[in-house]
This record gives sequence, structure tokens and C-alpha cells, in this order.
Amino acid sequence: MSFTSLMSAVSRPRPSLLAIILMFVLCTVSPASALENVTLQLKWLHQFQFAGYYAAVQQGYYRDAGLNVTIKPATAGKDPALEVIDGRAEYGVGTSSLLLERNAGKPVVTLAVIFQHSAQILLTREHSSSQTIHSLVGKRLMLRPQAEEVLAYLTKEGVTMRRLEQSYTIQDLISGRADAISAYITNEPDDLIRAGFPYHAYTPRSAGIDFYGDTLFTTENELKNHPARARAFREASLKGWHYALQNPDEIINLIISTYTPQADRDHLKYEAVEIRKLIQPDLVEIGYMHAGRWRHIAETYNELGMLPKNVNLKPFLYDPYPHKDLTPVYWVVATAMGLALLFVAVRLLRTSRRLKSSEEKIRQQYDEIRQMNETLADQVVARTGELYTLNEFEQFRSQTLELLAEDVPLPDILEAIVRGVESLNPAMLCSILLLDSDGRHLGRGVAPSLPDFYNEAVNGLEIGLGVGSCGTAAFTGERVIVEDIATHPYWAPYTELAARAGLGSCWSQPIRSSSGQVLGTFAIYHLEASSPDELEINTIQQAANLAGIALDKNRVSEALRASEQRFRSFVENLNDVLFALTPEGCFDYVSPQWSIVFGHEQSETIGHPFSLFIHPDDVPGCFLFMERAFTTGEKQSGIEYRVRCKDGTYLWYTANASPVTDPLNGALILIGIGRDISARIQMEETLRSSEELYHTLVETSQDLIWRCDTDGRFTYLNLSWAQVLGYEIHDMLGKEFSDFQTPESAARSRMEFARLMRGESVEQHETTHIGKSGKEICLVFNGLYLFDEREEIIGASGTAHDITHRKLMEEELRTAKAEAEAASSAKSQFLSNMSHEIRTPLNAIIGFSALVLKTGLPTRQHDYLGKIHSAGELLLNIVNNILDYSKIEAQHLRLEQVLFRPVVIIANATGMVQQNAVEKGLRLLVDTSPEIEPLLVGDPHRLVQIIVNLLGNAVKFTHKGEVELKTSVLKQEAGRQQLKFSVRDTGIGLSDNQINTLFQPFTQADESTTRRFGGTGLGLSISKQLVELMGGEIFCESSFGQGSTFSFTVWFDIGQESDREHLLVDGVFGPVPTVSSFDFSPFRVLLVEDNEANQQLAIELLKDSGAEVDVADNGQEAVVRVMDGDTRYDLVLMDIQMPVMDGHEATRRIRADSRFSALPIIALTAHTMEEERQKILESGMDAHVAKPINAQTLLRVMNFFLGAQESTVPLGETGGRACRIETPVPDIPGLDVASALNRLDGNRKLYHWLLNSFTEKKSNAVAIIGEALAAGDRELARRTAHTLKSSAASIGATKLATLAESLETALAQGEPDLDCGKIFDACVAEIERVLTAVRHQLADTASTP
Amino acid sequence: MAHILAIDDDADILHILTEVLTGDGHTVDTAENGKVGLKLTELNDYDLIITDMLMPEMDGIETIMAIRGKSRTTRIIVLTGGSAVIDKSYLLATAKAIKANKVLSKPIDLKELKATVNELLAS
Repeated sequence: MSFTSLMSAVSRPRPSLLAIILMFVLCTVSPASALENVTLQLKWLHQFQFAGYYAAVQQGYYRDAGLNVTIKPATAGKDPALEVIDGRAEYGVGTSSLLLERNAGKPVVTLAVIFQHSAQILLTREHSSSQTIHSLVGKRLMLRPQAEEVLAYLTKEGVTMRRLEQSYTIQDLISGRADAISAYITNEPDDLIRAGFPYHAYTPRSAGIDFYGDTLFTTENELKNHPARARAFREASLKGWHYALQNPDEIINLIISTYTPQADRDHLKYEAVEIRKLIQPDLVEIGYMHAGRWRHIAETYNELGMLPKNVNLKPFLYDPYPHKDLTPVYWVVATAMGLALLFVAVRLLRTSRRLKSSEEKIRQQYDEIRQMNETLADQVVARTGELYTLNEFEQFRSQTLELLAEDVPLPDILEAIVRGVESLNPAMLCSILLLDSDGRHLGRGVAPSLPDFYNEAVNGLEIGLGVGSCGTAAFTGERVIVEDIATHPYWAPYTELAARAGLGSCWSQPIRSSSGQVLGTFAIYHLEASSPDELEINTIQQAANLAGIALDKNRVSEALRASEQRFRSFVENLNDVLFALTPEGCFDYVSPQWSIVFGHEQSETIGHPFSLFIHPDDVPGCFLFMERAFTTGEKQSGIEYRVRCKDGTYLWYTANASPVTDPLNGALILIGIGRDISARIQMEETLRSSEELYHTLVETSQDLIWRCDTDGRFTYLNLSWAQVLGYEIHDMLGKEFSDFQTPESAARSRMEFARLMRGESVEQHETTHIGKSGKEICLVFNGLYLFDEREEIIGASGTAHDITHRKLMEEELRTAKAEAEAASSAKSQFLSNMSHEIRTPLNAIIGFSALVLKTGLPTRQHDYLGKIHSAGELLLNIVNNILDYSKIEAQHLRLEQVLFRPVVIIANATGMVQQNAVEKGLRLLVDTSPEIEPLLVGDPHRLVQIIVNLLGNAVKFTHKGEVELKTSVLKQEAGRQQLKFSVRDTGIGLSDNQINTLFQPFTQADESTTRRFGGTGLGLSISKQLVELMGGEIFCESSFGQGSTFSFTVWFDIGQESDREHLLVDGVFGPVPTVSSFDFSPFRVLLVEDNEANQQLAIELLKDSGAEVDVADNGQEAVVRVMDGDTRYDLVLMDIQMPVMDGHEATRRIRADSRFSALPIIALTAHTMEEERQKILESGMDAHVAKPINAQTLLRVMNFFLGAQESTVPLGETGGRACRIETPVPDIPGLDVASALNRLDGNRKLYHWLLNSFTEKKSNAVAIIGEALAAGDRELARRTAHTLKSSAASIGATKLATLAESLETALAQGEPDLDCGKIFDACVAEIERVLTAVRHQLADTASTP
Repeated sequence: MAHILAIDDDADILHILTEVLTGDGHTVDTAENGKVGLKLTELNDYDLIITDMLMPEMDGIETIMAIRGKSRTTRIIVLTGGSAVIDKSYLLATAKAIKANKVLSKPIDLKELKATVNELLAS
């Protein structure tokens, strides 16, 4: 039987009987006498809040206690507390704030606590079910006096609000004047409920601020003067409360009938229910108060700054049992015991009544019973204590669960648990330590009673065996009871810490989640070493369970909150619009995005048909869509429609929707999601219009536009195709492009198409098509591959245009050009041949006539022959002129850039006309500026030619007077000089007209001139061309009859003496020696010439010089003579054009033998074109002398070679047959000499020659390859590598041969440059090595005797 | 003794051939490519022609075919090395196919060469 049911059982007896028994039992109560007048001051108007007092009056409890009590309601403007303090009333009803009065020096004393919890709450309008106190920050607050718990609550939650003046009317909340109003939970909510006003109540208890509510109090004075009266008043009042709570309706009637309350019955009823909750008569003895709670209240005031710390509560708290130093629990126990006795007494009474025993007898028996029960008393006290503790724990437990239900933050709940357990027994200090997220460390705990430094030290400890009680408990998951910290091994590392914190024992219980996971520990500390009893173990377990529940719940609500938050932000941030439609087509819901996007408020949308918001054209489609969804019950998607915005514009949307059944009412609705596709629609529009434009352009284009698939089949052709090919477009589509081409063209086109399909573009591909009429049509194609979004090629497209006409024109042009070129070439060739053919006989004429002239002929014959000689030379001059002109015209004339002495040139030129001038009796003057550089670079032959032409003309057209050649420096620059040559005469002069045409070919001053003076009329024209080729100008100043001056200017580079050896040119050097000055007597010359006349002429010329001359009729013979004959030649004169073997080939053969590498070979040639000269030098000849042979020139050139060799090693000793050097098999590092020699059949000489050849010719092979690679000429590089390979192989340089072959292969197979470069580098290294080794070997061989 | 024409673009080879064959008493003409070689065949009747295969201007195949076009009896030795582009064995096989009498591979083995020359001249 529980304590509560025991009590209710006891308190059920009938009042009259109860009264008797009470009088009987409570022997301390004094007998009734004259009633004393006392006044009770209420703190408010008459209502159920004060029901107990009315009951006490009504039931006569006051009267029985000898008191006549006047109950005074509060009056406006009078502080009820002051009424008592000032003595106008003896007793009053107050609140926890009496503590403040007391502290302010007012001698108030609490007699009893009626309301175990404060009725103060904070009321706000309800916005949402999840609103929190924090939403009140900055809002307007009305706070009543003595509502410090509300203030403390706000302070604790960190909520600051604007205080308004208190109006005491809830109307201000309803009207919105205030956002929050402090109120009584027993009053105002009822008003709000009745007003239909949605409200939200915050109770300070949710933050662990649990003040006492209505409190009965008096003054020290009253207690001092009337202690019995005070006790009696207190007892009677509490009794009244018991009665009132048991008979609320009766008391309500009483209030209404007697006290004229403002509140109506319903309100009083409401009040009664609420007040019962605050008093908790089933759990707590009415009037009970606990010093610990008052202490806690005092501390809260302290935190608010309204009370100093540690105020002395003792004088404030009334002790109804001053003679016993027992806890209030004792009194409860005593009361309980009394009631237990009472129960026994009732039975006794009944028995005695039945026995009709006397009062004496009853007394006697009662004494027995009392004695009996006194022995029981101790047990009852103990048991009741336990029960009470349990009860108190139950109360605490239910409070905690209440907090949990109220969504109080976790730390507050945990603290409430800690404080709650502590309040059960003030000697206990509690802590809750939570494990970190890793589950292996103790985190910051909730232990308000433990010193900060201790909490700090514990924070972060890794759990484990022997880590104090909590560390061990968390680690093992088992409860750990350490009775004496000082000695227990678990605490060994922390004894000092514990001692500092003054801790004696620690009992720790793991906190587990519902799933059994250890989340932390709950621990109880005592300052002294102590061991827990069964009850305390139970307390620890229960507290740990509570904490576990709190943690579990917190976790769940956290997860819920996060999920809700997630969902909310998802919906709110969704760009898409969510909606729900009823089967009637009305909006049931639209997401906030609806208003944002379209501008329609949700309120003006929901409940309205969707068709109001859709473009009229789209409404039928949307209805169909909706109906389909509802009838099929399946998800529909892809509808596109326009939504009307608030501003009248439309946006394109697409929607998916699924019919779902509303779980609440079973109604079918359509849930949909709409997405903006305006951008896509816009793009499609743009695309469509651009496509139209494109289509028009393409169709009207003159160009042929085509597209085909990957097989080359036309998929599109514009109209022009029909015009060009004559086929209908639809006949061509689907056919291959090659079907319309000639087979050859089709083959090429297919190759080009293959390139297209490989992703290359095709440009200017020419094709030949066959039109419908059979006509060939040339089209040129440009094409580009087409690819799809996956970048795969899906075909090609491009343009083509008709070039048939152009092709024809081109063909004609080409033919014409080829013909012209052929003609020109034929002409050139003809002239060249002619000059050769003419000059050969002329050579004979001029040469022999000159020879005969030297033989001492009779005068007449000498004269005739002299004329033949002159005519020959004149003819030669004409032939040369014609040849020059034709060369210039064919642009075959090339100028030399050689070193010459200008003074010599001038002397030579004047020398050539000297005789003519003298013969005509003209003075020939030469004026040469000393500033002219001694050596210049240019073409001296052509310079002489120009000067001689001008001088010759001057002499020719002047009959009397003088001809002057004046040479001056016109400009001087670094490295070059501009010379001006002027030829002045005193001749007939020229008119302006004549001057204008003078330099044109085939013209002379006039027709008559030709007849009078003869000539080709080409001289000035050639001079002009030559001067211009040299970059100069030629001009003429003249007045008719006054003589004329022909001038020309030319730039020349200044030459250096050191350049001389490089710039060998016949007939240019130095002072001209006479024929007789050459003496070639010790030398043997081989003349190679097929023409007998020329042979004879040359022999005659050379005989005078003392040279011995052998003759070879052709190149082959010459080769044999030079290489195989017994005669050793010092010089070879080599004709070029010969039968059997020409001069080039013969020279090459001779040169191929290293013995003759230095043998001078001089070409005799009628070919004076530049290419021919080049060819001569390339085939290995050293110089050339032009035919017809000029004796002086020839001799001078010969002298150059023969004379120059005096100081060098005589010919033939550099090698040759005499040089038979026997050497041992050479050991050349890196060369397989043995096998190379073996291949050469042991011919060491040959091997030696090969080595020489290798060092001479192959040393530059790598340079050639290197340059070719750099220039990108892989073919040249490959060829050179090829020859290097075979050369290397033949000398046994195996490694080099292999490398060269690799290089050749790499180059041929198109390996990347990088790879080729690597092999090349290896080649370079290897060839260097081979060359060094070979050179070393050759040097050794040379030094070997 | 025989009149021999050597055709090769490698001057070294020509030198070796000339040196060795003239040493054996033969007369040797040389040509740097098939074109020159063909010209010489117009001027002289050669007992033996030794030719390379890969040459500029006119290569061995063209040369041999041209020679064979004029004379079926002229003895022809092909002396060639391969290149990176054309394998030696291919060249040798081709040479045989176009009726070269003998095919020798480079680098020159003089003993082999001499033996082949003597053998062909004796036939």
C-alpha cells in the first residue's frame, strides 16, 4: 500500500468522527476558549487561489483553533505584503519574493508553502508549434511585479526584451500591444482560451527555475508574541486546503455565494484544476517547504542580482517543530505515523463502541496500543523515510520527464537531473559526464556543484580501467562504486585532484542509450568516504536512466529538427514549383516558389481553379493531362504550358504530376512539380527563325551546297545543283556523290571523303562531274565533317562551285605558256649553239690570223690579213653582243661578285679603244679619282664591257677632238663605294628625241647612222641592262651638235686584300704581263681538245711559253693518260664538249683518284653562262678560260697555278703508285679492321684509302644530317644516313653502321623527331669517336717510315 | 682481259671496284648512276656490268631493264645493300627476277666479288 493511498484511506472518515478523533489525538492543541481576531491578507481578489482559507473558515478549522479569521482581498494600490509587515494583518499570502522583502529588512517569515511551483508563466501569441523562447528577443514584454522567476527564465535563456509598463490585462496581448505578458497559469490562459486566442505559454520550470508559488507568511513579531496562534493558524489553514482540494465544487459554490468573486464558475473550475497541479497534494504534504529549494531560489535571485550571496534563510523559514532537530521529513513521518495510529484507533473505536466499553477502558487499551506502536514507531519512521525519499524521487522523476516533454534544451535537462538528485540529499554532489563523439574520451560534463577546476581536469580524459570511477564505469559499462577515493586504486592518479576538490567517495553509473550504447556516466560524490545503500544505488540507476532517456530523446529531436530543416530548406530553395490539385482542378497547395515566380499570393491561389493561371490555349491540354492522371492513377509527365504571371506575362512551364491519396482524409489529389522551360522555348524559337533564314540563304545561294551521310550519300542539296548538273534534286538525294563523277575523279573524291570521315577538312578538292547532258563539269569542293552531340562524325557538309569555265581558261593559258617557254628555250638553246658554232671558226680565224701576222708577212699581205683579223674580232664582238642580249632577255645573265682592281679595269678598257682613237686622231683622256678604293667587289668583265661600249661609241661617233673617261667617287659608305663613270666626247651630239630611244634595243640615233657607222644597235641597250643589273643608273646628257656625255653609276662593295685567294677569276689580277714573260719550260701540260684547229692553236700558244704539251682527243683518253700513263702532268687544259667522254666526267674521274686531287685542271669553254661555270667548278676543275682563247688570259691563268705551286710539294708526291706503304694490320679502337680488310681481300692500300676517304668525305655527314633535320628535310637526312651507313660498314665501323641504319630506318618510317634526334645524337658521338680513332691511325701511318 | 662498267653512286665503291678490278688487269669504266652508265653502254661494249640498285637519277632496276632491253647476253652483277625503305633481300630477289646474273650484297667482299667476276667472265 502506497503512502498516498494510505493517506487517502485515512482521510476518508466522516468529519464529525474525525473531529472527535483529532481532538483526541492532538493532545497538544489547547482547548477552545474565546476566539482571537486575526486577519489574513490575500494577494489578489477572491478566487480559488485562496480556497483553503475559505474552507478553513467554512469548516470551522480556525474557530476550532480559537481563531476568528478575517480574509481581506487585495486592494488596488496597497501592497498585500506591506499590509502584513505594517501590522494591518497578521498573516498574508505571498510568493517566493518574500525572500526579497526579508532581505530588505522586512521581518517576514514563511509559515508554509501552498503552491509547490510558481504559477508565473509567460504568454505569447502562438505562431507555430515549434516556436521557442528565443523568438522573443527584442520583442515587447509586460512583466508583473513579483514575477522574478519569469525574469530569471528570460535571463537564463539569454532573451532580452523591451519592458512595457504593466497593465494587468491580458487584452494587451490579444490586441498586440505587447508580444509577451507574464501571467498566472491559473488565470489568464482560461481568458485566452475563451477568447479563442491561440497562445503559447513558457514556464520558467522548463529552464530549471522552480520557484515556490503562493506561500503563507507572517511576521517575526507575530511569531514571537503568539507562537501558538501562529501554529494553530498554520495548521487550520493547511487543513482548510486539504478540504478545499478534496471538495473543489463545494468551495467554488462557497466562493461564489459568500465572497462575490469577479471570476465566474467556469473560471473557478479551471483555476481549481490548475491549482491542484501546482499544489500536488497527492505527492507533497500541503505546506511543506524545503530549505534546499529556498536556497536554490535565493541563488537564482542572486544570479539576477536581487539578492546577495548566501543570505541567511534560517530566520525566514518557520520551523513548526522547533523542539526537535529533525528534518521536515520527520514531521511528515510523524504525521504519517499519527495517521497510522489513527487508523488503528478507528478500529479500536468501532470495537469499543461495539463492546460499549468505558472511556477508562478505552484509555487503557489505547495506552497498550500506543506502547505497542511506539516499538513500531521506529520501523515506521524508517520505512516512511524510505517511502518518502522514493516519493520525492518519483516527483523529481516526473518533473524531469515533464521537462523532456516540454522540449527543454538538453544541458538544462541534465542539470535539472543533477540538481534534482542533489536536492534529494544535500550531502550528495552529482555529475553527468558525456562521452565525446569518439566514445573514448570524457567530455565536458554537467556538474554545477563540483569545482570548476575539477570539471576542467576531467574534461577530455581518455576512458579506461582505473581512470577514476566514471572513466572506469564508462569503459567497462558497469557501475563503479568507490567508497573511499583516497585509497581506491581507480583513483590513484587522481587522489590529489580529488583531495583538492574535497571529494571523499564517488559512485558512478554508466548512462546507456535505449540501444545499450554507453553515452556517459552519472556519478554521485560525497565529501566523506561513504558507501551507498540500496536506495541510493536505486537513485543512481534511476538518474542514469533518466539521463539516458534525455540523451536519447535529444538525439531523436535533433535528428527530427535536422530532417525538418532539411526538408524545409529543400522546398523553399527549390526553383521548381510544387503544387497539389483537387480532382476539380483547384489548387490545394502551392509552394512558396509559386508566389516568388509568378507573383500570385498563395492565398489568392489555393482553392482557385488552375485554369485561371494558365494561358487559355493551354487549358484544354492541361485538363486532359490532369484527367489522365486521375483516371489512370499513374504519374503523368511532360506537359508544357504557359503560366500567367501577376503582371500579365507568361512563362513556359513543364510539369510532372502523380495522383496520391491524402492519408488524412482519403481524398485523391494530384501532386505535381512544375519547371521553368522558358529559356528552352526561347532558344527553340530563335533556332527556328535562324534555321528559316539559313534555309533561305542556302536555297538561293549561287554556290552548290551539299550534305551527306557517312556513306557519302547526299542528304541535302540546294537548288543550284539542279541548274549545274541538270538532274532533279530528288533524283540525286540518297545517291553517292561519286555516282556523278568520272571514275578517276570519283576515286580521288572517295579518298578525300575518307579524310573527312577521319575528322579532317577538305579544301579546294577539284572534281570532274558528268552532267545529265553528258557534259564534263569541273566542281571544286570544300567540306567539313559533321558531328553529333557525342562528337561522333555523322556525315559531312560543305560547298562546291563550278569551275569548268575557269578550268578551260587555265588549260589554255597553261598551253600557251608551255608553248612560249618552249619557244623561248629553243631560242636560247639555238643562240647558245649558234654562238658556239660561230665562235669556233672565228677562233680559228682570229687566232691564226694573229699568228700569221707575227710571221713577218709582206706589207700588203699583212694589211689584208690584219683586216681579216679585225673583221673577225668585230664579228666576234657582234656575236658576243647578241649572245649577251639574248641571255639578258632570257634572264640567264648572272653577275659575278669577285675582287678586282678598278684601276686595272679602267686601264684595260681604255687600252681596248686606245688604238682606234689614235687611228682617228682623237685624244683619249683618262681622269681617275685617287679616292677610289684599290680593291672592289663586283663583276669586272661586265664593267669593262660597259665602259668599252661607251668609249667605243664615243670614238666611233667623234671625228675631231677628244674622248674622256672620268671616274669619280659619288658616295662613300661603310664597306661600299658608289662610282660614277662618265664618257664625254666632242662628237655630233644627240637630240632629246634620240636620247629617249637611245637605250632601247636595236635602235641607233637614226636609220642613217646604221648605214654610216654600222653596229647592231644593241650596245647601249646591253649597257643599260647591265648597269641596272648592277643596281646602278645610266643616263645621257647631250645637245645636238655639241657632243654628249654618257654616265653611269654603280655601287661596289669594298674588297679586302685577304679576300684575294678566294676570288679567283681569269684575266683580272694584277698588272698584265707580256706573253714573253711566262716561262713554263719545266712543266708538262695535257691538252684535252677534240677540235683539231683548236688543238693546233693552243699548242702554238703554249709552245712559245716553253711548256711541253700532250694532246688527248677526248675525256676518256685524258683519264687514261693522266692516271695510267707514265707521264706525269703538271696541268690539264680541258675542253668541255667532247665525244666519248666530256670534260666534266673526265675531271671527275681524275679527281676521284686522290693522287690527282691537286692536279690543276683548267676548263676551256665556249659556254660562258653562269650555270656552266658553276658546273665546271663542281666537277672539280680549278678555273676556266673562255673560248676563243685569249692567249694572254690563258697564260696568266696557267701561270697562276704553275707559279703558285713552286713553294708547295711537287705534284704526284702526295700519293700515287710510288707510295706503297706496308703497314701492319692497324688496330683501330671501335673498328672491325680485320673483317673490313678481309672483305677487301687484304688490300691494305685500299683500306687506307677508304679510311682517308672516310675522314675527308664523311666527317661532315653528321653536319649535313643535323642541318637537314633542323630544316625538316628528312629525305636528305635519310639519304645521307644511308651513305654514312655503307661507308661506315666498308671501313668496319660496325657500331656506326648500325646506328646510321637505325637513323635511316627511323627517318624512313616517320618516327617522331625526338626519337630520330636521339639516334642522331648517338651517331654524332659514335662518328666523333670513329673519326678520332681513324685520324689517329692515319697520323701514325704517315709518321711511319 | 675484260672491259667492265661499274655503276654506283658511292664514290668509295667505285674506287674499290676500279682499284681491285684494274689490279686484276681489267679495264674499268665507272658511272655515278644508271643514266651515265647507260650512256657508256652506248659507247662501249662491256663484258661485265656491276651495278648498285639504289641510286639517284636512275636506279638499278631501270638500268638493268634498259640494258637487258638491248642485250640479253651482257653479264650483270648486282651489288647492293638494303635501305631502311627497301629490304636487301627484296632488292636481291628483284635483281634476280629482272635477270641479273649474280647478286652480291654490300658491304663488298672482294674475294667473293673477284670469284663471281671470274666465274661470269669464264662463262
